[in-house]
Amino acid sequence: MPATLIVVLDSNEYIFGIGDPTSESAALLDALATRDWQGTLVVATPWMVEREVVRNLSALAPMASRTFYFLLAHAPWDGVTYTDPPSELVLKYLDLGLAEEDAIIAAFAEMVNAQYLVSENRHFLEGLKSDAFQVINAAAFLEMVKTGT
Amino acid sequence: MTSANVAEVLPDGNLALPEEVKRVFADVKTFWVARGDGFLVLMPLELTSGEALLPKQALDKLREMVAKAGGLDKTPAEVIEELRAIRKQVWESEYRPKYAQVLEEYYASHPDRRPG
Repeated sequence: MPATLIVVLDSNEYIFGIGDPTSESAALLDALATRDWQGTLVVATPWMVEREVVRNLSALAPMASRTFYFLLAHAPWDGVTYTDPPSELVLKYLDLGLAEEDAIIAAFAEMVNAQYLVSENRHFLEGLKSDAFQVINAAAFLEMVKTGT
Repeated sequence: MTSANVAEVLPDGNLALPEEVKRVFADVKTFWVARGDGFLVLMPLELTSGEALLPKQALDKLREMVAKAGGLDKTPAEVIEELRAIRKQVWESEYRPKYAQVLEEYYASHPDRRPG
């Protein structure tokens, strides 16, 4: 593994990880929130994912967004990135067959030099073949960090 | 919401809030700043008078809040579809206008890729 992994979590990892404590997404969030990742792993969060999670959480529990921001503000999370990906990266992922709204997430992952995009969304898992990063689900990511491969 | 004259942008780009606002948040040590739809939001994170949350505690608190509200009452497929719908809305309202010109040029040369 590289010295510092940069990882992007898709919004579904947060919603499953918070809403279903028995899920693999919950195990992933637990591992991120409890282990000392200093110097080994950073979670980068695009504005799009923040918006999706906040809108979804707010519909479930109005005060939850504040606590969610607290999580994003603490390591290994690196806050929210409001910088938009360059258009050439967005077009690259349109060329690879993604919908516009998914292309922005993939472009973000490449922009921040992420090695992994973690998602339970089969559109990403089956459809996105990037030369810049791997798309894996929470279970695979957990296994990967456990074995250090 | 209070009128726009509560905050002053300083020459160095920092934002200064008046005494009145400082008093309201007297116990707050740290704020999270986020962009709302057309405004900035300051959210108090830690109170000097209370214990600071650790990330795992924040996660547990989030789970408790969602469980109290009835939890996720949808299948995983429904949750993903709901999130995709939000993503599409955010893309259309917030992102697409920024990329509109480059997308039009792209679709002019790749008409098969133009959505719907």
